[in-house]
Amino acid sequence: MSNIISVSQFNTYVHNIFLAEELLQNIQLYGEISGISYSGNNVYFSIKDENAVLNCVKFGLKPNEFVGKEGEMVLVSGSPNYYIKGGRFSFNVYKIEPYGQGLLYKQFLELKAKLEALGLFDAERKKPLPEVIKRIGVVTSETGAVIQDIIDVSHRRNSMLDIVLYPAKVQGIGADSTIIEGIKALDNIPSIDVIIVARGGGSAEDLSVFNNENVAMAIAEANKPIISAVGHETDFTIADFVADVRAPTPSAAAELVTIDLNKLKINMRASSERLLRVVENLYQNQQNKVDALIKTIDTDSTSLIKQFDADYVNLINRLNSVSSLCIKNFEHNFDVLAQKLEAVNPVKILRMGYAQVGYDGKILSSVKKVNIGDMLTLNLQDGVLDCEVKNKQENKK
Amino acid sequence: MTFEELVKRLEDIVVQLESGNTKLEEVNKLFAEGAEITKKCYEMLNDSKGKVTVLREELGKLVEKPLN
Repeated sequence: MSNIISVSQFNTYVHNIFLAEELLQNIQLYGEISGISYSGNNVYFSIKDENAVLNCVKFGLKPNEFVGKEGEMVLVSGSPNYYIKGGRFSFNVYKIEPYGQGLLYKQFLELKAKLEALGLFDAERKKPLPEVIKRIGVVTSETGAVIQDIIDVSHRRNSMLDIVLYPAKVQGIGADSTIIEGIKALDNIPSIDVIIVARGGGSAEDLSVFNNENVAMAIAEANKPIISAVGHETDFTIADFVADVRAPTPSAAAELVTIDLNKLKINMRASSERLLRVVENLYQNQQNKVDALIKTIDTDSTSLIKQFDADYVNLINRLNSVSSLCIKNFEHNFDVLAQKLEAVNPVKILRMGYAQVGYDGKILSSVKKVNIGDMLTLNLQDGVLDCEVKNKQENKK
Repeated sequence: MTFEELVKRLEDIVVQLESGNTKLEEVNKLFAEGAEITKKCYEMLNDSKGKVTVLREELGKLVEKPLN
Protein backbone atom coordinates (compact mmCIF):
# COMPACT_ATOMS: atom_id res chain seq x y z
CA MET A 1 0.00 0.00 0.00
CA SER A 2 2.79 2.37 -0.97
CA ASN A 3 0.02 4.49 -2.58
CA ILE A 4 -1.31 5.61 0.77
CA ILE A 5 -0.24 9.27 1.27
CA SER A 6 -1.35 12.25 3.31
CA VAL A 7 -3.46 15.15 1.98
CA SER A 8 -0.43 17.44 2.30
CA GLN A 9 1.69 15.05 0.33
CA PHE A 10 -0.98 14.79 -2.39
CA ASN A 11 -1.55 18.54 -2.66
CA THR A 12 2.19 19.21 -2.75
CA TYR A 13 2.56 16.64 -5.51
CA VAL A 14 -0.19 18.23 -7.61
CA HIS A 15 1.20 21.68 -6.89
CA ASN A 16 4.60 20.60 -8.18
CA ILE A 17 3.14 19.09 -11.34
CA PHE A 18 1.74 22.49 -12.35
CA LEU A 19 5.04 24.18 -11.45
CA ALA A 20 7.01 21.71 -13.46
CA GLU A 21 4.89 22.09 -16.58
CA GLU A 22 6.78 24.81 -18.39
CA LEU A 23 4.16 25.12 -21.12
CA LEU A 24 1.71 26.39 -18.53
CA GLN A 25 3.98 29.10 -17.10
CA ASN A 26 3.55 32.76 -18.12
CA ILE A 27 0.77 32.09 -20.56
CA GLN A 28 -2.01 34.33 -21.84
CA LEU A 29 -5.66 33.33 -21.77
CA TYR A 30 -8.68 35.18 -23.03
CA GLY A 31 -12.17 34.90 -21.68
CA GLU A 32 -15.13 36.77 -20.32
CA ILE A 33 -14.67 38.19 -16.88
CA SER A 34 -17.30 37.30 -14.29
CA GLY A 35 -17.94 37.28 -10.56
CA ILE A 36 -15.41 39.90 -9.56
CA SER A 37 -14.82 40.34 -5.85
CA TYR A 38 -12.21 42.33 -4.02
CA SER A 39 -10.40 41.59 -0.80
CA GLY A 40 -7.90 44.22 0.17
CA ASN A 41 -5.44 44.60 -2.68
CA ASN A 42 -6.42 41.24 -4.13
CA VAL A 43 -9.09 40.62 -6.74
CA TYR A 44 -10.83 37.30 -7.29
CA PHE A 45 -12.75 36.56 -10.48
CA SER A 46 -13.47 33.97 -13.16
CA ILE A 47 -12.90 34.05 -16.85
CA LYS A 48 -15.05 31.89 -19.04
CA ASP A 49 -16.20 30.99 -22.49
CA GLU A 50 -19.38 29.09 -23.46
CA ASN A 51 -18.04 25.74 -22.23
CA ALA A 52 -15.60 26.38 -19.40
CA VAL A 53 -14.82 28.53 -16.41
CA LEU A 54 -11.44 29.28 -14.79
CA ASN A 55 -10.98 30.73 -11.31
CA CYS A 56 -8.42 33.54 -11.22
CA VAL A 57 -6.74 35.66 -8.58
CA LYS A 58 -4.69 38.82 -8.92
CA PHE A 59 -2.63 39.76 -5.89
CA GLY A 60 -1.27 43.21 -5.09
CA LEU A 61 -3.56 45.29 -7.21
CA LYS A 62 -2.12 48.78 -7.79
CA PRO A 63 -4.30 51.89 -7.72
CA ASN A 64 -6.12 52.45 -11.06
CA GLU A 65 -4.87 49.14 -12.40
CA PHE A 66 -7.20 47.69 -15.07
CA VAL A 67 -9.38 44.81 -13.91
CA GLY A 68 -12.34 44.90 -16.31
CA LYS A 69 -16.07 44.73 -15.73
CA GLU A 70 -18.53 41.89 -15.58
CA GLY A 71 -19.04 40.30 -18.98
CA GLU A 72 -16.06 42.04 -20.46
CA MET A 73 -13.66 40.03 -22.59
CA VAL A 74 -10.18 40.17 -21.06
CA LEU A 75 -6.72 38.80 -21.70
CA VAL A 76 -5.03 37.56 -18.53
CA SER A 77 -1.33 36.82 -18.21
CA GLY A 78 -0.15 34.42 -15.48
CA SER A 79 0.46 30.87 -14.40
CA PRO A 80 -1.68 28.09 -12.93
CA ASN A 81 -1.30 27.42 -9.27
CA TYR A 82 -2.61 24.62 -7.11
CA TYR A 83 -2.82 25.73 -3.48
CA ILE A 84 -1.49 23.13 -1.15
CA LYS A 85 -3.33 24.41 1.92
CA GLY A 86 -6.82 24.79 0.39
CA GLY A 87 -6.49 22.12 -2.23
CA ARG A 88 -7.81 24.54 -4.80
CA PHE A 89 -6.74 25.37 -8.26
CA SER A 90 -6.60 28.89 -9.56
CA PHE A 91 -4.91 30.88 -12.25
CA ASN A 92 -2.46 33.33 -10.76
CA VAL A 93 -2.76 36.52 -12.78
CA TYR A 94 -0.10 39.22 -12.94
CA LYS A 95 -1.73 41.29 -15.65
CA ILE A 96 -5.28 41.87 -16.97
CA GLU A 97 -5.92 43.58 -20.32
CA PRO A 98 -9.10 44.26 -22.29
CA TYR A 99 -9.64 41.77 -25.09
CA GLY A 100 -12.32 42.68 -27.66
CA GLN A 101 -15.99 42.26 -26.80
CA GLY A 102 -17.20 39.62 -24.39
CA LEU A 103 -18.93 36.64 -25.96
CA LEU A 104 -22.08 37.00 -23.90
CA TYR A 105 -22.06 40.63 -24.87
CA LYS A 106 -21.64 39.60 -28.49
CA GLN A 107 -24.63 37.25 -28.21
CA PHE A 108 -26.52 40.00 -26.49
CA LEU A 109 -25.81 42.38 -29.37
CA GLU A 110 -26.79 39.77 -31.96
CA LEU A 111 -30.12 39.02 -30.26
CA LYS A 112 -30.74 42.70 -29.74
CA ALA A 113 -30.20 43.38 -33.44
CA LYS A 114 -32.46 40.48 -34.39
CA LEU A 115 -35.36 41.54 -32.15
CA GLU A 116 -34.92 45.15 -33.12
CA ALA A 117 -35.24 44.12 -36.76
CA LEU A 118 -38.46 42.28 -35.85
CA GLY A 119 -39.78 45.60 -34.56
CA LEU A 120 -40.08 44.43 -30.94
CA PHE A 121 -38.44 47.58 -29.61
CA ASP A 122 -40.59 50.00 -31.62
CA ALA A 123 -42.03 52.81 -29.57
CA GLU A 124 -45.47 52.46 -31.21
CA ARG A 125 -45.94 48.90 -29.93
CA LYS A 126 -45.22 49.91 -26.35
CA LYS A 127 -48.37 49.78 -24.26
CA PRO A 128 -48.90 52.72 -21.93
CA LEU A 129 -49.37 52.02 -18.24
CA PRO A 130 -53.04 52.31 -17.25
CA GLU A 131 -53.98 55.50 -15.46
CA VAL A 132 -55.55 53.55 -12.64
CA ILE A 133 -53.61 50.59 -11.30
CA LYS A 134 -55.34 48.58 -8.57
CA ARG A 135 -53.63 45.21 -8.92
CA ILE A 136 -50.19 44.29 -10.13
CA GLY A 137 -48.57 40.98 -11.01
CA VAL A 138 -44.92 40.39 -10.18
CA VAL A 139 -42.72 37.71 -11.72
CA THR A 140 -39.69 37.27 -9.49
CA SER A 141 -38.15 35.08 -6.85
CA GLU A 142 -40.35 34.43 -3.83
CA THR A 143 -37.33 34.65 -1.57
CA GLY A 144 -34.97 37.58 -1.57
CA ALA A 145 -35.13 41.30 -1.31
CA VAL A 146 -36.79 42.11 -4.64
CA ILE A 147 -40.38 41.12 -3.86
CA GLN A 148 -40.04 42.62 -0.41
CA ASP A 149 -38.78 45.91 -1.89
CA ILE A 150 -41.66 45.99 -4.34
CA ILE A 151 -44.21 45.33 -1.57
CA ASP A 152 -42.62 47.88 0.78
CA VAL A 153 -42.22 50.68 -1.75
CA SER A 154 -45.61 50.24 -3.37
CA HIS A 155 -47.51 49.93 -0.10
CA ARG A 156 -45.71 52.89 1.40
CA ARG A 157 -47.03 54.94 -1.51
CA ASN A 158 -50.39 53.25 -2.04
CA SER A 159 -51.55 50.98 0.76
CA MET A 160 -54.56 49.90 -1.32
CA LEU A 161 -52.56 48.20 -4.08
CA ASP A 162 -53.04 44.44 -4.53
CA ILE A 163 -49.92 42.45 -5.43
CA VAL A 164 -49.97 38.97 -6.99
CA LEU A 165 -46.62 37.19 -7.07
CA TYR A 166 -45.68 34.47 -9.49
CA PRO A 167 -42.70 32.80 -7.82
CA ALA A 168 -40.09 32.32 -10.53
CA LYS A 169 -36.50 31.20 -10.79
CA VAL A 170 -34.55 34.24 -11.87
CA GLN A 171 -31.24 32.57 -12.65
CA GLY A 172 -29.78 29.20 -13.59
CA ILE A 173 -31.22 26.26 -15.47
CA GLY A 174 -34.96 26.45 -16.10
CA ALA A 175 -35.21 30.11 -15.08
CA ASP A 176 -36.37 31.12 -18.56
CA SER A 177 -39.35 28.73 -18.55
CA THR A 178 -40.58 29.77 -15.08
CA ILE A 179 -40.37 33.43 -16.06
CA ILE A 180 -42.28 32.76 -19.27
CA GLU A 181 -44.93 30.74 -17.38
CA GLY A 182 -45.23 33.54 -14.84
CA ILE A 183 -45.79 36.20 -17.49
CA LYS A 184 -48.46 34.06 -19.15
CA ALA A 185 -50.21 33.13 -15.89
CA LEU A 186 -50.43 36.74 -14.70
CA ASP A 187 -51.40 37.94 -18.17
CA ASN A 188 -54.41 35.60 -17.97
CA ILE A 189 -55.74 37.08 -14.72
CA PRO A 190 -58.21 39.80 -15.81
CA SER A 191 -58.03 41.82 -12.59
CA ILE A 192 -54.30 42.44 -12.96
CA ASP A 193 -53.47 45.79 -14.55
CA VAL A 194 -49.68 45.60 -15.00
CA ILE A 195 -46.95 42.97 -14.73
CA ILE A 196 -43.50 43.61 -13.32
CA VAL A 197 -40.73 41.22 -14.30
CA ALA A 198 -38.01 41.77 -11.75
CA ARG A 199 -34.67 40.61 -10.50
CA GLY A 200 -32.08 42.09 -8.20
CA GLY A 201 -28.53 42.97 -9.16
CA GLY A 202 -25.99 40.32 -10.11
CA SER A 203 -23.28 39.39 -12.55
CA ALA A 204 -23.94 39.50 -16.28
CA GLU A 205 -24.28 35.75 -16.14
CA ASP A 206 -26.83 35.97 -13.31
CA LEU A 207 -28.93 38.34 -15.40
CA SER A 208 -28.48 36.33 -18.59
CA VAL A 209 -31.97 34.79 -18.46
CA PHE A 210 -33.33 38.27 -19.17
CA ASN A 211 -31.29 38.20 -22.38
CA ASN A 212 -33.07 35.01 -23.41
CA GLU A 213 -34.94 35.16 -26.69
CA ASN A 214 -37.95 33.17 -25.44
CA VAL A 215 -38.32 35.41 -22.40
CA ALA A 216 -38.14 38.41 -24.70
CA MET A 217 -40.88 36.95 -26.92
CA ALA A 218 -43.12 36.21 -23.91
CA ILE A 219 -42.78 39.84 -22.82
CA ALA A 220 -43.53 41.06 -26.33
CA GLU A 221 -46.58 38.83 -26.69
CA ALA A 222 -48.22 39.68 -23.37
CA ASN A 223 -51.49 41.60 -23.56
CA LYS A 224 -50.92 43.55 -20.39
CA PRO A 225 -48.24 46.23 -20.09
CA ILE A 226 -44.98 44.80 -18.79
CA ILE A 227 -42.39 46.64 -16.76
CA SER A 228 -38.89 45.20 -16.69
CA ALA A 229 -36.89 45.83 -13.55
CA VAL A 230 -33.71 43.85 -13.76
CA GLY A 231 -30.52 44.44 -11.83
CA HIS A 232 -29.14 47.87 -11.15
CA GLU A 233 -29.64 51.09 -13.01
CA THR A 234 -26.59 50.44 -15.24
CA ASP A 235 -27.71 46.94 -16.26
CA PHE A 236 -29.51 46.73 -19.59
CA THR A 237 -31.06 43.47 -20.72
CA ILE A 238 -33.04 42.42 -23.79
CA ALA A 239 -36.08 42.26 -21.51
CA ASP A 240 -35.63 45.99 -20.87
CA PHE A 241 -35.76 46.75 -24.59
CA VAL A 242 -38.83 44.59 -25.25
CA ALA A 243 -40.78 45.59 -22.16
CA ASP A 244 -43.33 48.39 -22.42
CA VAL A 245 -41.54 50.29 -19.68
CA ARG A 246 -38.04 49.81 -18.30
CA ALA A 247 -37.61 50.56 -14.63
CA PRO A 248 -34.01 51.04 -13.53
CA THR A 249 -34.58 48.98 -10.37
CA PRO A 250 -37.40 46.90 -8.80
CA SER A 251 -38.10 49.73 -6.33
CA ALA A 252 -38.42 52.16 -9.22
CA ALA A 253 -40.91 49.75 -10.85
CA ALA A 254 -42.95 49.80 -7.65
CA GLU A 255 -43.01 53.57 -7.82
CA LEU A 256 -44.11 53.50 -11.46
CA VAL A 257 -47.19 51.40 -10.70
CA THR A 258 -48.29 53.35 -7.66
CA ILE A 259 -49.70 56.76 -7.47
CA ASP A 260 -48.54 58.49 -4.35
CA LEU A 261 -51.67 58.09 -2.29
CA ASN A 262 -50.37 60.56 0.26
CA LYS A 263 -50.20 63.14 -2.50
CA LEU A 264 -53.66 62.07 -3.61
CA LYS A 265 -54.90 62.46 -0.04
CA ILE A 266 -53.54 65.99 -0.03
CA ASN A 267 -55.21 66.63 -3.40
CA MET A 268 -58.45 65.24 -2.09
CA ARG A 269 -58.33 67.42 0.99
CA ALA A 270 -57.49 70.46 -1.11
CA SER A 271 -60.35 69.64 -3.47
CA SER A 272 -62.78 69.24 -0.57
CA GLU A 273 -61.72 72.60 0.80
CA ARG A 274 -62.02 74.18 -2.62
CA LEU A 275 -65.46 72.61 -2.97
CA LEU A 276 -66.61 74.19 0.25
CA ARG A 277 -65.06 77.55 -0.63
CA VAL A 278 -66.47 77.65 -4.14
CA VAL A 279 -69.96 76.83 -2.94
CA GLU A 280 -69.71 79.40 -0.16
CA ASN A 281 -68.53 81.94 -2.71
CA LEU A 282 -71.28 80.98 -5.11
CA TYR A 283 -73.91 81.48 -2.43
CA GLN A 284 -72.27 84.71 -1.38
CA ASN A 285 -72.34 85.81 -5.01
CA GLN A 286 -76.00 84.88 -5.25
CA GLN A 287 -76.66 86.81 -2.06
CA ASN A 288 -74.72 89.76 -3.47
CA LYS A 289 -76.74 89.52 -6.65
CA VAL A 290 -79.97 89.48 -4.72
CA ASP A 291 -78.78 92.45 -2.67
CA ALA A 292 -77.77 94.24 -5.82
CA LEU A 293 -81.12 93.41 -7.35
CA ILE A 294 -82.93 94.80 -4.36
CA LYS A 295 -80.86 97.95 -4.62
CA THR A 296 -81.65 98.18 -8.30
CA ILE A 297 -85.32 97.81 -7.57
CA ASP A 298 -85.02 100.56 -4.94
CA THR A 299 -83.22 102.81 -7.36
CA ASP A 300 -85.72 101.99 -10.06
CA SER A 301 -88.70 102.83 -7.90
CA THR A 302 -87.18 106.13 -6.92
CA SER A 303 -86.66 107.02 -10.49
CA LEU A 304 -90.12 105.72 -11.29
CA ILE A 305 -91.54 107.98 -8.63
CA LYS A 306 -89.49 110.81 -9.96
CA GLN A 307 -90.86 110.07 -13.38
CA PHE A 308 -94.32 109.76 -11.94
CA ASP A 309 -93.89 113.06 -10.15
CA ALA A 310 -92.82 114.69 -13.36
CA ASP A 311 -95.76 113.17 -15.15
CA TYR A 312 -98.04 114.23 -12.41
CA VAL A 313 -96.85 117.79 -12.57
CA ASN A 314 -97.29 117.67 -16.25
CA LEU A 315 -100.76 116.28 -15.83
CA ILE A 316 -101.69 118.94 -13.36
CA ASN A 317 -100.35 121.60 -15.63
CA ARG A 318 -102.30 120.14 -18.45
CA LEU A 319 -105.37 119.80 -16.27
CA ASN A 320 -104.92 123.37 -15.16
CA SER A 321 -104.59 124.66 -18.65
CA VAL A 322 -107.50 122.54 -19.79
CA SER A 323 -109.68 123.56 -16.91
CA SER A 324 -108.88 127.22 -17.28
CA LEU A 325 -109.82 126.90 -20.89
CA CYS A 326 -112.99 125.16 -19.87
CA ILE A 327 -113.73 127.83 -17.38
CA LYS A 328 -113.13 130.47 -19.98
CA ASN A 329 -115.42 128.67 -22.37
CA PHE A 330 -117.97 128.29 -19.69
CA GLU A 331 -117.75 131.95 -18.86
CA HIS A 332 -118.09 132.79 -22.49
CA ASN A 333 -121.08 130.53 -22.87
CA PHE A 334 -122.57 131.95 -19.75
CA ASP A 335 -122.22 135.46 -21.21
CA VAL A 336 -124.00 134.35 -24.33
CA LEU A 337 -126.67 132.75 -22.29
CA ALA A 338 -127.01 135.79 -20.13
CA GLN A 339 -127.31 137.94 -23.17
CA LYS A 340 -130.00 135.65 -24.57
CA LEU A 341 -131.80 135.66 -21.27
CA GLU A 342 -131.48 139.41 -21.17
CA ALA A 343 -133.02 139.54 -24.59
CA VAL A 344 -136.16 137.78 -23.37
CA ASN A 345 -136.39 139.62 -20.06
CA PRO A 346 -140.09 140.72 -19.81
CA VAL A 347 -139.04 143.77 -17.81
CA LYS A 348 -137.06 144.90 -20.82
CA ILE A 349 -140.12 144.26 -23.07
CA LEU A 350 -142.38 146.23 -20.72
CA ARG A 351 -139.87 149.02 -20.89
CA MET A 352 -140.50 149.13 -24.63
CA GLY A 353 -144.21 149.99 -23.95
CA TYR A 354 -145.72 146.51 -23.92
CA ALA A 355 -148.02 145.41 -21.08
CA GLN A 356 -148.68 142.08 -19.47
CA VAL A 357 -152.36 141.22 -19.11
CA GLY A 358 -153.49 139.33 -16.05
CA TYR A 359 -156.96 137.69 -15.81
CA ASP A 360 -158.16 135.70 -12.85
CA GLY A 361 -154.57 135.63 -11.47
CA LYS A 362 -153.07 134.24 -14.71
CA ILE A 363 -151.26 135.75 -17.71
CA LEU A 364 -153.80 136.28 -20.47
CA SER A 365 -152.82 135.74 -24.08
CA SER A 366 -156.21 135.24 -25.78
CA VAL A 367 -159.53 137.18 -25.89
CA LYS A 368 -161.67 134.10 -26.05
CA LYS A 369 -162.14 133.45 -22.32
CA VAL A 370 -162.84 137.13 -21.58
CA ASN A 371 -166.36 138.48 -21.41
CA ILE A 372 -167.52 142.09 -21.50
CA GLY A 373 -167.59 143.56 -18.02
CA ASP A 374 -164.71 141.30 -16.78
CA MET A 375 -161.93 142.93 -14.83
CA LEU A 376 -158.34 142.66 -16.17
CA THR A 377 -155.01 143.79 -14.68
CA LEU A 378 -152.43 145.47 -16.91
CA ASN A 379 -148.84 145.22 -15.69
CA LEU A 380 -146.83 148.07 -17.00
CA GLN A 381 -143.17 148.99 -16.50
CA ASP A 382 -143.85 151.04 -13.44
CA GLY A 383 -147.27 149.87 -12.10
CA VAL A 384 -150.61 148.03 -12.42
CA LEU A 385 -153.88 149.15 -13.93
CA ASP A 386 -157.26 147.52 -13.12
CA CYS A 387 -159.46 147.77 -16.22
CA GLU A 388 -163.04 146.75 -17.17
CA VAL A 389 -163.72 145.14 -20.57
CA LYS A 390 -166.09 147.37 -22.52
CA ASN A 391 -165.93 145.61 -25.83
CA LYS A 392 -164.58 142.33 -27.31
CA GLN A 393 -163.42 141.79 -30.82
CA GLU A 394 -161.83 138.59 -31.94
CA ASN A 395 -159.38 138.64 -34.89
CA LYS A 396 -160.63 136.74 -37.85
CA LYS A 397 -158.51 133.81 -38.91
CA MET B 1 -65.00 53.81 -8.41
CA THR B 2 -61.42 53.63 -7.21
CA PHE B 3 -59.89 56.18 -4.89
CA GLU B 4 -58.08 57.78 -7.83
CA GLU B 5 -61.30 57.99 -9.82
CA LEU B 6 -63.14 59.49 -6.87
CA VAL B 7 -60.45 62.14 -6.34
CA LYS B 8 -60.51 62.87 -10.08
CA ARG B 9 -64.30 63.24 -10.02
CA LEU B 10 -64.04 65.52 -7.00
CA GLU B 11 -61.49 67.70 -8.81
CA ASP B 12 -63.75 67.82 -11.88
CA ILE B 13 -66.68 68.91 -9.72
CA VAL B 14 -64.61 71.67 -8.13
CA VAL B 15 -63.35 72.88 -11.51
CA GLN B 16 -66.93 72.85 -12.84
CA LEU B 17 -68.16 74.84 -9.84
CA GLU B 18 -65.21 77.24 -9.97
CA SER B 19 -65.94 77.97 -13.63
CA GLY B 20 -69.01 79.87 -12.39
CA ASN B 21 -71.15 78.49 -15.23
CA THR B 22 -73.31 76.31 -13.03
CA LYS B 23 -76.94 76.91 -12.25
CA LEU B 24 -77.78 77.14 -8.58
CA GLU B 25 -79.81 73.92 -8.47
CA GLU B 26 -76.94 72.17 -10.27
CA VAL B 27 -74.54 73.64 -7.70
CA ASN B 28 -76.53 71.99 -4.95
CA LYS B 29 -76.41 68.64 -6.73
CA LEU B 30 -72.66 68.85 -7.42
CA PHE B 31 -71.92 70.00 -3.90
CA ALA B 32 -73.85 67.06 -2.48
CA GLU B 33 -71.95 64.69 -4.77
CA GLY B 34 -68.62 66.27 -3.81
CA ALA B 35 -69.42 65.97 -0.11
CA GLU B 36 -70.42 62.33 -0.63
CA ILE B 37 -67.14 61.63 -2.47
CA THR B 38 -65.11 63.20 0.33
CA LYS B 39 -66.85 60.97 2.83
CA LYS B 40 -66.32 57.89 0.67
CA CYS B 41 -62.63 58.70 0.17
CA TYR B 42 -62.05 58.90 3.91
CA GLU B 43 -63.88 55.62 4.41
CA MET B 44 -61.76 53.96 1.72
CA LEU B 45 -58.55 55.25 3.23
CA ASN B 46 -59.50 53.91 6.61
CA ASP B 47 -60.91 50.59 5.48
CA SER B 48 -59.02 49.14 2.56
CA LYS B 49 -55.61 47.57 2.65
CA GLY B 50 -53.97 46.03 -0.42
CA LYS B 51 -53.57 42.25 -0.42
CA VAL B 52 -50.36 40.42 -1.27
CA THR B 53 -50.90 36.97 -2.74
CA VAL B 54 -48.81 34.32 -4.43
CA LEU B 55 -49.85 31.97 -7.24
CA ARG B 56 -49.50 28.33 -6.23
CA GLU B 57 -50.33 25.23 -8.16
CA GLU B 58 -53.06 23.14 -6.57
CA LEU B 59 -54.41 20.10 -8.41
CA GLY B 60 -53.00 21.38 -11.67
CA LYS B 61 -54.57 24.80 -11.24
CA LEU B 62 -52.98 28.06 -10.18
CA VAL B 63 -54.66 29.55 -7.14
CA GLU B 64 -53.95 32.72 -5.20
CA LYS B 65 -52.75 32.18 -1.66
CA PRO B 66 -51.69 34.76 0.90
CA LEU B 67 -47.95 35.43 0.81
CA ASN B 68 -46.23 34.87 4.11
